[in-house]
Amino acid sequence: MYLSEILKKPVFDGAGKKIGRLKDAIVSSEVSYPIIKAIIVDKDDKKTVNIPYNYIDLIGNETKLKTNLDEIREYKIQNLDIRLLEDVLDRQVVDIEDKKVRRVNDIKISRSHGYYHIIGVDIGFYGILKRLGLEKIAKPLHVKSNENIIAWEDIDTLNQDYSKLKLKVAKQSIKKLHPADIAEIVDQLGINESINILNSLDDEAAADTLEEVSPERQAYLLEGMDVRRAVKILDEMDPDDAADVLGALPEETTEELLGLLEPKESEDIRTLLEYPENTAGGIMTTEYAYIEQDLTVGEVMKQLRDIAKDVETIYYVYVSRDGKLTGVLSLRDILLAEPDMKISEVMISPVITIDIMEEEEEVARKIAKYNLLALPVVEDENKLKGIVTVDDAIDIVLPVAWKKRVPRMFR
Amino acid sequence: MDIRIFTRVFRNPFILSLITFISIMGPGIITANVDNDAGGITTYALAGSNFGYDLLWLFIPMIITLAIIQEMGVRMSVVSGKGLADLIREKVGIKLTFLMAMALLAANMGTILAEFSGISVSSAIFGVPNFIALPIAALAIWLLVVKGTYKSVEKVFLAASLVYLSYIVAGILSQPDWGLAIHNTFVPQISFNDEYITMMIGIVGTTISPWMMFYLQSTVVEKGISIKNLKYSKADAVIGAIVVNIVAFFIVIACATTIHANGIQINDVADISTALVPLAGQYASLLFAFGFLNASLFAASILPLSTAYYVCESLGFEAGVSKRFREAPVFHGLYLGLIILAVMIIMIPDIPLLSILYLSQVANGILLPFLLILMLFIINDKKIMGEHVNSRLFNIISWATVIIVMSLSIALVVTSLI
Repeated sequence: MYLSEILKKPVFDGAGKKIGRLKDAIVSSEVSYPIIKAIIVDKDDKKTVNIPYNYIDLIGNETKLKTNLDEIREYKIQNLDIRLLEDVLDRQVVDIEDKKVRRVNDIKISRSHGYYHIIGVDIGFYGILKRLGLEKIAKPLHVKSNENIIAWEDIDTLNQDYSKLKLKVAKQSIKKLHPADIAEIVDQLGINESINILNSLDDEAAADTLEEVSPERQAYLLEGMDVRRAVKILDEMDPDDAADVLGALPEETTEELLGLLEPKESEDIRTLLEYPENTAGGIMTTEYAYIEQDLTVGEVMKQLRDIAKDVETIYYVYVSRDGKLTGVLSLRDILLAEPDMKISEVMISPVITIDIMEEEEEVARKIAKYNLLALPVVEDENKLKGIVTVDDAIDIVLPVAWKKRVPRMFR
Repeated sequence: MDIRIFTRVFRNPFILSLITFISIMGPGIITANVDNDAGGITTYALAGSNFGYDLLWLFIPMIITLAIIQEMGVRMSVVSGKGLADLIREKVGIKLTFLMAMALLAANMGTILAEFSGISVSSAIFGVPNFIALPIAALAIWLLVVKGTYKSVEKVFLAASLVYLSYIVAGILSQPDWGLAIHNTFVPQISFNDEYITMMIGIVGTTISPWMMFYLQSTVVEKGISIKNLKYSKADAVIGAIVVNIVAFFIVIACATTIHANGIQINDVADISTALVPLAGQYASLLFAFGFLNASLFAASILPLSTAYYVCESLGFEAGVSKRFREAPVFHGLYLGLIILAVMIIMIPDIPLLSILYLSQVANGILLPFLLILMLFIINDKKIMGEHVNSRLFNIISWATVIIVMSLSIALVVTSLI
């Protein structure tokens, strides 16, 4: 049975008297295959009434109630309820399995043991034909009736703004996806739904997701969000990504957000904001591991755990003296060296570096040429300013999904 | 040079708000330029050639009308974050959506034909026969869309937009009678003969077209403009409406000053180009033809794809150029089908191009009233628009606008059927 087959169909009370027409059905969002908890009936006197399922005898071409209308205690719609017509039919849902945004043409309902379970949504052409009353032409067109049904378990509806709910939401499959996949879904959606999804994620997941979205869109999403939430997400982002977003925002907003960030974080971002977008300075991060040259290997080993906490990569540790880059050590070098050796004896010098104003393509080329995991970015020959990691370099050469997408300017 | 000097300049508050505006701006301006397509330029040029300065008064009411409609479209999309096709599907369900999609498909097919006929006509002026020009144009369009990256496409589009300035230059170079032009802009010169009224309806019909509204709204959605920037977007919509009409205004002036003043009889763009040679010099004529080619190509590169997107998205078919044919057969079928069909039809020898242009205007004229009414229902829906529904005053103005546009488009349909 499909939702479209029962909508607007007559509803009769226990005595067989027609009381109105079926307007909508309510299910809970908290279970995988929910049952219809209540129906909304458009009464003949133009008012609506919500009837709980325990008063319903049969739903179908004709819906029958067990009792008369005046014996019914009305159902109160709750926060997490989903209305099938209002919230799902003809609307977009997220297909968790394929990581796509789909439009719902119909909803499949199945009856067992007196309960009406929601099985899945129809996203195919057959669903359209059926609703247009054209299912007869489905066969000659070779359109099959059940090939495009997505299980209810695998979809997320988009209407709810989860941020307004204090409760833990059970059905929110989207959270289980990888941030890069969530970002792909977010890129297919409008700004309001995108913000709803980001709001349903924790700060770290939201930050990871945002980093994979195009910078221009990131800016609009952050701007559309509650300021405090935006700050929390920015805080979780890598400074280079955060700087990219802030660079795309109007100055007022940037200043407001920077003012609310932790001083160290905002200082880093401010530095990064000074450099043009497509230079080494524009793509570098300031969270790198560095040590002083006059330490011993043993001392460094002790510090490593502390250093590792907030750097982007721990595999390279840069050595400096009086703020000048003098050498580099890989994690392997540190692990294999004798603890009492001086850093200056084991470090590799000179270091391959790149000037802060160099173009980003050159950064990628250098990383590829020397097979590096990260490339230190310097100003005035040897003043270490930041590093560019190999993953960011790959993004320059092989653009992420949003860069390949055809602009909607054409739509 | 030290880049920090630049960053400091860009942090000046005035320049910053300007930059904010420019970054928000775009949908309205680009739509405005796309709107001056083959059909538009033909109509404006004919209006100037055949009626001189008489129809100039139309531009002020048209700016107001277009601004009102565009503002509603932009507001709708910024607030809901959704395009017009989505909003219609969610507001009225599948049956009406399906009808709208089919009507839009038919109307846009007509407009696409008009664009390709524009390519055919203008390349003929440059001496390129259409069995060479059309396939090359189709291939170029396809390559630009499928192989072009976002940034290069944007640059091509902005460059294409600049070409429209050539019409303003052409208008000024034609040394118009400014006194009369300004007088006629503010004082309506109405006459009641059939040709005059048909031309008037034609101008309104080509300036306010259904596909333009779909297009404007999806560019707004694509930009992801948030409610906080609604005021900039509104300004963009209004400025876009002004820009499109200014360009049109100068096309009318250029043709009125040269062709009409010399009493030359004109039927199509090729005639105009020929007539311009002795009057304004060969370069003016070539410039006009080049502008026309550019306009046709510009719209032709957008329309087939956007049509395929609207139809597929509102009906829930898989859509996207990056998807393979097997993944999105309907989408690719529609996209390629529209281009190939248009090229084939235009290549038929002795095809009555003017009738095709007329039919496309009729299809658009039938669709427009329904679309405008739906827009008004959507924009007054509190569930979608929240506090941003139309105010009562705005509703009166917009309903009045819709009724005027509707009666004009009904009149257009009736006159073309007779």
